[in-house]
Amino acid sequence: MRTFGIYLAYPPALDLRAQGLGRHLAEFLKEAETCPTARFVIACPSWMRKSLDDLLEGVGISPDAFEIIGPKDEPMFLKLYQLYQDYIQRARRQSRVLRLFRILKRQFARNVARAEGLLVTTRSGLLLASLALLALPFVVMALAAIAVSSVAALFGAVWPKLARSRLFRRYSNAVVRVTTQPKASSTTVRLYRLMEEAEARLLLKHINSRKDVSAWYAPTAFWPQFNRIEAPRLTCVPDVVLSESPVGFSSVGGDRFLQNFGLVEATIEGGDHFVTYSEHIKYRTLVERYQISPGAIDVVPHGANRLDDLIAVSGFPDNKAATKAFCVNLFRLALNKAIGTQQAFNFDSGDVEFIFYASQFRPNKNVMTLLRAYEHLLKRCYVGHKLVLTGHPDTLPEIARFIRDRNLQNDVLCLHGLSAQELAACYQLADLAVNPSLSEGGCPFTLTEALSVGTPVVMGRIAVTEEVVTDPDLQSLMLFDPYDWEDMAARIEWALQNKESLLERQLKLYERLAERSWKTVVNEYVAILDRISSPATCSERA
Amino acid sequence: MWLLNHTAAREFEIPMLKRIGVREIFLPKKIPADPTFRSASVDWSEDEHLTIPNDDLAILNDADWYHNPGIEAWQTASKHFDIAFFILLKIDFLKSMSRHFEGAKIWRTYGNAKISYSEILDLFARGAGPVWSPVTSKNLWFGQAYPHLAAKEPNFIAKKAVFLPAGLADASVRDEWNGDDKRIFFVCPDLAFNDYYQAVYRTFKKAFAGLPYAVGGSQPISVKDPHVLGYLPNEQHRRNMRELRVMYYHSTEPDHIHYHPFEAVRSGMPLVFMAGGLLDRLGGIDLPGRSKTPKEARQKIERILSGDRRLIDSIRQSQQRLLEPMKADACEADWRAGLGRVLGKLRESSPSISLANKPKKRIAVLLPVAYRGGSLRGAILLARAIATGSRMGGDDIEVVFGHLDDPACYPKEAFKDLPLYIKRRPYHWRILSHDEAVRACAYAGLNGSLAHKTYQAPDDGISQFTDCDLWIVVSDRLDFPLLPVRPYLLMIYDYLQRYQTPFNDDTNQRFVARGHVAEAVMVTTAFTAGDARQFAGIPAKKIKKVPMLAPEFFANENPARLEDDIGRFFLWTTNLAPHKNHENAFKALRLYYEKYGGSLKCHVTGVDTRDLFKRDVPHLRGLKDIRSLSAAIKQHLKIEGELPDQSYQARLSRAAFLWHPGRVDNGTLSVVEAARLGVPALSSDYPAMREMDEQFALHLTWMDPDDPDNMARELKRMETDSETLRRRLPSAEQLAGQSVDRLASAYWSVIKDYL
Repeated sequence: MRTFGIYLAYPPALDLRAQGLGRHLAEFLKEAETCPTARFVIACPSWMRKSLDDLLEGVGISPDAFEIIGPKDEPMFLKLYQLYQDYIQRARRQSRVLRLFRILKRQFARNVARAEGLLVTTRSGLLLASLALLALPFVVMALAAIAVSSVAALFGAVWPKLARSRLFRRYSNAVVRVTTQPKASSTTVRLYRLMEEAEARLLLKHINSRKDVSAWYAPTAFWPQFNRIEAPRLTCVPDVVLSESPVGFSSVGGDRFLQNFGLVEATIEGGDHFVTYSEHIKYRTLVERYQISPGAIDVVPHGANRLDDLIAVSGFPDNKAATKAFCVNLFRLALNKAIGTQQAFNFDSGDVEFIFYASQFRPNKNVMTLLRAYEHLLKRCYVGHKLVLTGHPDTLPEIARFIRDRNLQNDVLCLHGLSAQELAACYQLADLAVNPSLSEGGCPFTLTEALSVGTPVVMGRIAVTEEVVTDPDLQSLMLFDPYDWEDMAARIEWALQNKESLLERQLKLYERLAERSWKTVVNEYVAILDRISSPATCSERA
Repeated sequence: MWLLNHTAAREFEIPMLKRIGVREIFLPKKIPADPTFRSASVDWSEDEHLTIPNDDLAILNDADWYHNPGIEAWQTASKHFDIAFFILLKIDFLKSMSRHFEGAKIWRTYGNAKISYSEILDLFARGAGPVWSPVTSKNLWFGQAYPHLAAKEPNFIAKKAVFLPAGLADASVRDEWNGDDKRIFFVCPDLAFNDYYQAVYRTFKKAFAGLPYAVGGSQPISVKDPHVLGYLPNEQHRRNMRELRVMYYHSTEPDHIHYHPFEAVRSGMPLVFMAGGLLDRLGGIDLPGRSKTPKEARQKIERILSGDRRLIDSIRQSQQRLLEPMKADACEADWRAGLGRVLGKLRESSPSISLANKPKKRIAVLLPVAYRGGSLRGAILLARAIATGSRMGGDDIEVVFGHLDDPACYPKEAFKDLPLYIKRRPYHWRILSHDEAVRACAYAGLNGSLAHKTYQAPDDGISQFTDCDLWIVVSDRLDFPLLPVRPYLLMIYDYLQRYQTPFNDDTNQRFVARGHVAEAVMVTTAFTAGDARQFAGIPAKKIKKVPMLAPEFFANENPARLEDDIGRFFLWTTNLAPHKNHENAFKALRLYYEKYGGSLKCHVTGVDTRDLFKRDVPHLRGLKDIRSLSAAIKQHLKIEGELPDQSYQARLSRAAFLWHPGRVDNGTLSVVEAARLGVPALSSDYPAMREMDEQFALHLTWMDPDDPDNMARELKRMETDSETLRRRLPSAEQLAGQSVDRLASAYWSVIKDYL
């Protein structure tokens, strides 16, 4: 049995479970754990250990299943930042103290009422004097409070002048940004890069000392340091999405995205062996744009991304109905995450029909065209379904604007930050899943995610999808021109009217796709790692 | 009626009821398909002991006793049963039960983790206001399974408490435990989705890290954790109870307990449990298995796992005390006393006593804003339908018609269609602050919290319509929530705001919210029903579709008579609202005259139409330009303005056809009026008009309101085909089939459910 390494270098504070790539990694690791022909070690920075543990625990993998190498102690700078974060959370958790305070306050009010009762009913001078004595500290406290509020009022008069000064604003803005939006602060990013570089050096030391590891695999192309590993390396390039929509991305993520783009290009340019999810990315991106030799690139398509296990209820007289009820409960929770729709909880009856597109909002995701098609369907064709999306509408302001200007805020629900179960529930409850994306690294997960829970799907006719949906008849039923909103609208309307027959056709495709399990995928990766680390390949490379 | 499905509770309570003399018990056959309903099952065995007719039993067996089972099921229940035990999952259940069940109602309560039952009522009411009214609380009991539960509740609930203790069907000790499997048995269900149990499990793992354990409990969604046993056949479960070394029970909830600690005690398995929970009340606080902290529990469990016989024996021997209060013998006296009290009160309020003082039921139909024209006519028709429907249904109901007190808007002649038996009351809206609303609710006998700062109530200067048992508000145009002193229904004709933007979203939210707290929303088209569900989010069960009502226009008995009297014009009935689609209509007219050689004149009638070219609003601004560019329009278009009814009908009856080029709304009854006068119509194609066409068999001709060319072509076709179309119009008999008298019973069958 040979040993291979998995290289991970995600930034701190990233919850892998919430990331598409994290879920992909989880599927990979689940099968890698029991792979009979290879064992894996994972190399990661110190700050990723917890996130990795959580990811493994979340998918039921024992924490001891993989050897994890790399620095153990986090840098002090990061620890301090984490302490600060904990402090904020601890401050929020102090509601118990507040609760106690409220109880005391209630008790105090009751006692005061009782004392007042005594005060007005007593006929004893002694008792009256005692009550006055008891009240004395509170009178003093009240006087002190009046004094404090007077000082505060005085400070309030000075404050506006101070707040207007340029120096004050400059530093206060920087502090606010570092503490609230660390990713948006150039200072934080610069400091992080220094920390990352040092951590990478330490990590490389650990890695290069492990001569028992035959080859290393990086599941994404964000880490040029990976190329400094001495053993054979396999880099996965899911896509280079910024190059697919250059103008659209120019106003997203600012220079941070540009820096990431540079990292991806550096990773590709310094890379050795590559793997992609599709022929399209292999040829259009790696071969044509980056002039990588086709022989250095393997294609390993995704396994079927199934969601049914997350929501399938068993052990009830009517499991189907119980599953639906469970999904309705999850949808209720998901509605709490709606952004831009007032009182979205109004739609929690379980009776609301909707179309679903699960995706973050990025220029290549083609959300605007979907919105245009949806508005036409709603207002001209009287298709009453809602459209449920999962992106944050402010990520691309034109989306938020369109929704607002066209008065769609009660029909287009942006449920952002869904858990995996909530996502599965949305798919299950939807009448139709739609994916209008213009470019993806592989066939969009929408296809198998929707079909795994019995929901039909229509998608944009793009190369990566056509690699998987190859039957021309089925293509004509379920694919639309993603550049043509009218075609998209017509396909959605047709699919809603013919959802049973469409699903029946698609389930046949799904059966075939579901045969390609993640075990198959892992075996293919192992075969590639095996090949690139075999003496013949290594000597060729030398 | 024991309207619960909890298996363990049923196994104790049904024999207990029989033991204290209850002869016949109905058990529900439908359970909610909810994975959290894991302890439920259906039991048919009691049906054979029931002496009620089979048809009645079929009705009861078919009903959903967790939602609103419907008036028929309740009436059947009232006929045969004295008491209904229930748990509360939906507020609609409590409301419908209060309205229609005449027996005693026992809300069976087994304690909650963190929330009181009064808070549950507020939660379920979703801001609708207090549910606990004199009607609701009549013969309603708080059937607490543990004697201290009512202490947490406000007085209005606490005073209704009756103690019916929880127990075990078999509380004997089997003592079959051997403890050969040296693991802790920890029961923690629903781990894949329940936050509470997930947190409990995390705490458990932290406290007992390094010790061997197995997790029992139902897992409706599979969990990838080797410790979790998941579903087990009964035999395997029994074996676990015999062989696992020790059970740990985590709960410190003072008001609720699970059944599995008792199972452990019965099998003889040592139980280590946390102090502060309900076990303290049941077994005292000196049991050796009791632990004040998880650390103490761990120490005890470690000793048990390592075979400390002294501790094991001491726990096993003493813990049997926990079963004592759960035995039927111990519970019987309380059950007997409790049920005796309930039945005694029921006899005091027997129907013969209450019927003697029962006033006539009264329904108010309220027009909330100064609607005139079609809306006023519609509200009057609704009032008539209710009155007629109730009479036809054999119910003695009085209908009151409320309209805003605005003599200028509502002169007496505006109500000439309102029958004398429907009393008319002018009113104005009274705005109540939160404090005023709280006081009003208290005086009305309503207990519970109010969620809003401001409320509104119709003030007729008499009793603010509280003499009426039900309010029916025509439209949802209420700025504030209605004061919840009476149940109310909304009659909503459309949700135009979904397709146009007549007001901002805040206003929309206000209106939509009114529908959510109404008892039901009545609509007249499937399209509006769809919008109520899809756009407003009203639950489908609360949406009631009733037929469209059309006024009895002066019907022309024989449309053929008019054939020789047709003018060379068609009539466009409209107003200045944006959805009337004026710009496309003008473009279509231009094409009709200039491209297709149309020759009929176009007569425009309707409210404010004289201002068509004068009003400076965006959707009318382009009309002047279109007219100035087209000599044909100038020549053929004639603005008639708002005509009195008789003049309008005279004009309409001579028209070649009626033109309705508006965009989506709730449809216009002018096409029905036209059909009665023997005039065909060309209408925009949208759902409400399609439904109207179907209900009244109008054979309308259709056009696309977004395509002026198509509109113009269809106008030209009407010019040539109007005679043929006229012959396809419905007969007077067909239209009479859609009269208010014929449709009234459909209204009554919906409304009577809420009285």
